[in-house]
Amino acid sequence: MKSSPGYFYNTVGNLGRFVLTFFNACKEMCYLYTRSLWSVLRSTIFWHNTINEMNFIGVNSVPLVAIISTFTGMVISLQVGQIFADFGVSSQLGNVLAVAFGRELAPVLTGVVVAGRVGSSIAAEIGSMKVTEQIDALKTLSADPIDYLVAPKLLAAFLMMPLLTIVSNILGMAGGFMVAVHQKAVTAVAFFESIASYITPWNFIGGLIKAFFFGLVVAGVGAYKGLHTENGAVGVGTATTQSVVTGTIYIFILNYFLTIILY
Amino acid sequence: MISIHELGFDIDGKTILRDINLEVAPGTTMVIMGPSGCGKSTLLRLVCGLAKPTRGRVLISGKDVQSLTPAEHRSIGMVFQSSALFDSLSVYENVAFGLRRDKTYRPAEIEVRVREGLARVGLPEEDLLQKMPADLSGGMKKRVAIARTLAANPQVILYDEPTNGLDPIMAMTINKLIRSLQRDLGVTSLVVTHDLTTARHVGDHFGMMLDGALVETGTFDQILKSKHPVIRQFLNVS
Ligand SMILES: Nc1ncnc2c1ncn2[C@@H]1O[C@H](COP(=O)(O)OP(=O)(O)O)[C@@H](O)[C@H]1O
Ligand SMILES: [Mg+2]
Repeated sequence: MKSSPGYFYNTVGNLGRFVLTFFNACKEMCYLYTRSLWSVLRSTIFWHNTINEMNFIGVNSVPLVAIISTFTGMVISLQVGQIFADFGVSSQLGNVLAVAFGRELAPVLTGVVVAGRVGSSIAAEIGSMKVTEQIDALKTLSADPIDYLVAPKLLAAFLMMPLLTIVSNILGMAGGFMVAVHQKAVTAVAFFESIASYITPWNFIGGLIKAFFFGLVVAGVGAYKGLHTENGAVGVGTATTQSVVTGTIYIFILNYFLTIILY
Repeated sequence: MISIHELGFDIDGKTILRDINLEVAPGTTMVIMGPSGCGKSTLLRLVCGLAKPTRGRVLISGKDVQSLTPAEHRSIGMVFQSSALFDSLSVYENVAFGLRRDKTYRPAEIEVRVREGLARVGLPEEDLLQKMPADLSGGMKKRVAIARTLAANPQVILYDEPTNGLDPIMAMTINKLIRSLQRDLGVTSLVVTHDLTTARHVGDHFGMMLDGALVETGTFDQILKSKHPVIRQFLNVS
């Protein structure tokens, strides 16, 4: 069967359909972003919902980001500290941690946490509102679902991701610092001197710029998957899972290209 | 009040509705009956402007629904099959939702209208106001949904299977409520249902829909006497 023309056309057909679906999704996500921007600029966005979302996305994510970042910083200090000690360059630990966290780990770890916690809940909330006709009910009461749901979540993620990334930077460095000082016999002075001599503010600013994009991607994917939910409760489950998987993949791919552009 | 002309709707190359013509006179209730999947919900979505017709048009008081202003849109109320209460908002906030969208209402007026609306659907209890939709029974949800629709002062109310999934006593309460809203407030209603008891109780005029087409209209007795074999089958098993 595999060599028959039917199989060939089928494969081409499936590929074609996949490409079409992908471009349709891109087109619709662009619409979500531009329409949300419009919603903010014209202030038709529901500000009250935005505040609630900022609380949920930002404040409630702090504990998870804090734990993950602290322990990642600590483990890097342990591993890299050993190698550096063997080469007699332990004092450079601060420098390495600052590069690792400032440029990559803080935005990416925070992005993954937010994709898992926030992207999924955005997809679940919007998806269950879709299948229980609440999205339609919003429209009949002349509240645009973009103004009411999508724009507040996008704006909140856009604003809170960099703040969470700052938290991640601080705690990741602090975790690394503690291990360096207490277990790797690096002096505090040497730790900070190595940062001061190599690290520029751009090291951290670039990471925060990444965070803005990751916030938009995660919330945008969640909203898109939610709005396209069909098939009742099963569909809500599928949309939720897909939003985490897709959001996380996009973060890692986008991160590579942002690193090329920013550093 | 509601006039539907040569209405047709396709999705993914499939025809869901074909050549629907229908007039609902002001202050009357039209009931469309039909089996599941015949296109009843789709018809209501087109009438309230949630979907765009592929062919034909829907006029509300002579204006095409596709070109209504937001305020005119709010004058068409829709009671969804699943009630569609906003589950992150309290009963009070649900009923007040449409009023808050209308900038002409002051907060004190909103409160008065929310209480009026809930009293009208037989839910005057004070402690209900702060409850969340998840804590309500199906019949209460339906009545809160009707109150939310009423708060916006609609001239037209559309009901999608209003008694579906309710016990017979609650179903009768809803039937009487739909009737009383028509009588007391003079609203024009379009009800779709597959429940003959509901149909007979709330309707002035009746239509029978099969496979996306309106195959019979008239009084309830005329529908009962229809010779159409599928309608006969639908009526016999119901
Ligand atoms: N968004 C949609 N996409 C594809 N098919 C749809 C969609 N909405 C409705 N349909 C189809 O249209 C037909 C009528 O649906 P509906 O109006 O919900 O029927 P009813 O309310 O009478 O049960 C069904 O066969 C349904 O599968
Ligand atoms: Mg239906």
